[in-house]
Amino acid sequence: MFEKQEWLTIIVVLILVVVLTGCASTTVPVTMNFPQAPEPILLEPEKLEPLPEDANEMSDLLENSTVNYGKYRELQLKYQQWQRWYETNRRLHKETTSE
Amino acid sequence: MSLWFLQLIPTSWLEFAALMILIVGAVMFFAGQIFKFVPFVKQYNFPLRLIGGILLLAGAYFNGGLGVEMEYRARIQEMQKKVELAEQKSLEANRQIEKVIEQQTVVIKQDTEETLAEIERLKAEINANCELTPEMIIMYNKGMEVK
Repeated sequence: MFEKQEWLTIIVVLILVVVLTGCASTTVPVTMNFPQAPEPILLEPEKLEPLPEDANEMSDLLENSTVNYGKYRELQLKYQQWQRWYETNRRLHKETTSE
Repeated sequence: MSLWFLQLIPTSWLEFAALMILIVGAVMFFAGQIFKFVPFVKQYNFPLRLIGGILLLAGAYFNGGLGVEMEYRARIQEMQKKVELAEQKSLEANRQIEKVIEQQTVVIKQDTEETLAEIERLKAEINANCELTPEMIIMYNKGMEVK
């Protein structure tokens, strides 16, 4: 079917293929787990307090506003810390995975 | 990886085995060449050359693959160290975030309490000139309704 010269070529090619597979490039099987966010920023946000229907004084309004301002500030703080957490972990992931 | 099974064998064993396969292959191959001219053993020359040739080839293959394998192991080790370091830094960042939230929340709650106490103290003065109507309350609450 094949001439002697052709057989020789086939054998040389097969040997080269086998030898070259030993040098095949590989991917390192080490993965980085998705980081866990801190507990406080995972909590359900508090709802704003509505003004009670029986409120009839200006001081009730002011008290209600003050409580709600406090809740907003807590939420703002957690939001800022979410951004900080994201930036930190994004940077760490980049530093770790870049060659 | 084509040589994934090599990861299970210690490095020193691999180096020794690869070298021995190469040496044994070379010795057998050249012995086969010499046996062609030696009476009584010349009938063994072809099997010796064949097996020697195969071992020589396998030895060359393993020696080449071993370099890649060593590089691969070094990369895995380096990557594992980097990941461990990043995970430690991430945990440290989490602790700092928790600390900031804890401290700042206390401050916010104190501020709120102080303002409420101030309102309570000035209640009479605040309520002297103004009274809330039901319509005002409805309008005020509309601002926090989720639609």
